Amino acid sequence: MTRTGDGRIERFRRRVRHSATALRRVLFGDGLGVLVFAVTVLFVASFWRMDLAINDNQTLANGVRALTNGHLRILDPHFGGNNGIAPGTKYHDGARYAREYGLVVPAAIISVLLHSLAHVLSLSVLLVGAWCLLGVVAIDELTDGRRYEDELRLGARLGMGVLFVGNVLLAAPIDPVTIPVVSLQLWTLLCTGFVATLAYRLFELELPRRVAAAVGVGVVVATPVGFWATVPKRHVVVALAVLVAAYAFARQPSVRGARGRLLRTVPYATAGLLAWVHPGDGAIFFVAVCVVDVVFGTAYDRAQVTLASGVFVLSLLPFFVTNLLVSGNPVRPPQFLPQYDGQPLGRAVPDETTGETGGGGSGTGTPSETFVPGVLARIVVEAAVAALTTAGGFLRRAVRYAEGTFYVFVDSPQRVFQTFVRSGYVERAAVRGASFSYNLAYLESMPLLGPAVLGTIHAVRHAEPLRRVANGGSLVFRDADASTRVLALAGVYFSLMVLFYQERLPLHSTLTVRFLVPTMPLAVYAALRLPALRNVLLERFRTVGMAYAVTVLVGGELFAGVLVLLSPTVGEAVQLHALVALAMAGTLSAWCIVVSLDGRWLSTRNAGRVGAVLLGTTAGTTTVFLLLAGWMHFPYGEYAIPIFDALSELLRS
Amino acid sequence: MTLRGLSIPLFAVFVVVVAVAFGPAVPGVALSSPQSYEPASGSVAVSVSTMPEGLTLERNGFGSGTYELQSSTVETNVSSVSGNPLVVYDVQIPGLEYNKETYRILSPDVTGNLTIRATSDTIQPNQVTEESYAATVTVLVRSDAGSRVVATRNVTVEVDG
Repeated sequence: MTRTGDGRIERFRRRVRHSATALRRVLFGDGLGVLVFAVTVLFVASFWRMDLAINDNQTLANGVRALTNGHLRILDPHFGGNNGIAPGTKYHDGARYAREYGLVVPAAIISVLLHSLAHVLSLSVLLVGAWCLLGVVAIDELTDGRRYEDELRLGARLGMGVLFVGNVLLAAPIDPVTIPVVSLQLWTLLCTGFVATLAYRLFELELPRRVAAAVGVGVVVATPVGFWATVPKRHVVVALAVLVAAYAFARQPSVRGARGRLLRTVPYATAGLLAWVHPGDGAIFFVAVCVVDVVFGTAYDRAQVTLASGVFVLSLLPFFVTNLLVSGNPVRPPQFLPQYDGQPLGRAVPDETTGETGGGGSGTGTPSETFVPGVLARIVVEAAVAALTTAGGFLRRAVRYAEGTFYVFVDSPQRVFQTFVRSGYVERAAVRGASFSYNLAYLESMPLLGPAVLGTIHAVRHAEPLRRVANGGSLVFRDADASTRVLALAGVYFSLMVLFYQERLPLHSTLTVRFLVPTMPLAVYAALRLPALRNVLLERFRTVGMAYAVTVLVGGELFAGVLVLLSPTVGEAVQLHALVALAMAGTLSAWCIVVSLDGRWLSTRNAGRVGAVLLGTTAGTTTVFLLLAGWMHFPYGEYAIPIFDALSELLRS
Repeated sequence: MTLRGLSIPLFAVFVVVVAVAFGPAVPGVALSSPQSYEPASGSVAVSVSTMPEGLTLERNGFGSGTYELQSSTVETNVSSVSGNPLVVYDVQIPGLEYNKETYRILSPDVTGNLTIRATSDTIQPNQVTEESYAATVTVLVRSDAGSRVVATRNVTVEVDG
């Protein structure tokens, strides 16, 4: 080697910087993508409670705890009732298992990391510090290239330093037994950040960058996605999968060659991984992706078919392996095992000694006898039969749900109304669980649904293939443009989700129709298909922003003040939010309709200004709900960022 | 290096240094732990000055449909507290299978007047069939000496709306 040590260090540094830049590009796109991520996580972490809000999270937390200790079966449950009985805990072959391992495994990796960090540093200080660091990152990106850049940054950094120290003085240590919970929440929090970033990148393909960044953040803070950021359920992760697919579909027309071929397989890979989280949601997503890709994409050739199926099968590997280890059948996921409600726990005792190192005993009943062809064939046949039985069961279940939804639409359409438009007190829902009327309908939790429906109608009326049919041409969807593909995904996915979930809805315990939360980011996309709304956002971006800020800062405070005066129950408070949201949804939709019918009005200055104010206010209404729900209506657990504990106490006193 | 290039790593190092300082590796520095209580321990002298004469069951607003008890208070006077005894305000409505306790955890620095405002549970509309119900309001103390009733009164719950 002729190079000097200095040269080598320099080369190493350059390589590190190079890979850091590459990683940043893949994950965030550009600086604004980082900003969107940081702002979103800062926002949702402000109401992060390091505790379990819903009792079926107990299963997941027990699963993470078990994996962290090195076994798959739950040997020493900490959460839930006696013997770790909790909704969703599964039982197979004398052992208890969690479900949704696609969530549990990433959280377990974080949990192992946190456990080892806890030996040298204080986790609560680290979390608060990470939050403040995100603040510094956000301010750096915000002030980039502004006047007084350095002065602003210095001030902001000092401010963040003070905030950090203040928080540390208020912070309490994290009990090691809650690390599984914190890990699950960190994982869904990260996913929420990426929901916003991916939404930004999706909108950046067609909107100016700074508008796209605002919409990206809005997808989390102006829809109930933010509500579920730190309630470690699957919904945010499913939403992320939908956005990955949407972004891939939107990019496809412009990427050619090998990269284009690979890009086309990304939605399928996402579907495979999603099945690992939740087979039902994964299957719905897979069907939607297939329909959009096959109908609206370019024609398939043999190479693409091979590539796509190869990638899909590979992405299913974690799912298959987990199922094999849990149920002994690669296609029988934990969700299909019987519920654990205190059955005898056999076989756990001999396994306990090996469990520490072995990554969990599997229920495969691997024969110790020698492999002869006959035995092998028998195993293959048995596995195939089991696979067919499971698949049959899965299909039967799907048909039952779809049938149920059909009867809801035919026999009790009021339930559709209660799910999508106005919730209030639903006797049927109260009987089936949570007795408070603290649930919101789709429109109440996301008033932007109004314009989303109008946007969809507009887009369908102007869709190129349909226009061709009207002109007597043929119906050809192939090689559709980006916006058509994304909108098609939105439509197909939404219809399928309603088809399989409406049967169970409305439920009080879904709070914001959480089953349908994954459809909400694309509803924002649909809303922006409406030319009037899009123009208002583009041309009066500042007015929209001002209206939003005033709604959140002033309106939010007024709303909190009214609630303090009324001292309502949770149900009343949530229903008051619902009524305000409905009023906003109605007004904004009416504006959209009037403007769409009478184009001349829009060209007057006032129409645009009114629209901008309505759009900002409507988005702000949802943000106010998220913040007050997080700080006021649903008290539980310790806040991860302690100053918000003080704020919450102030609001609830 | 400019301020910009340096600031984020510097802040990160600052965070890690503080986190390590408060961690297990550095003895003597610790976060303020929340005050630990041992509820229902010790002893206390309690007298009750005011209890509600009657209660009202109200329908919740804004379409939320359910019923709840209009909030009511009891006024007590506590003295000579040791440990962390509980003062409990209990409302029972047998006809609705309703039993709700609201409690305060005392500590030795608490003395004098103590007002307890009852929080209400939600009651389902299909349960409310009568126009009034019989109820019992009770003030209890839970301490080392077990559970002791300080005062109790039979009242009527009027259904409103």
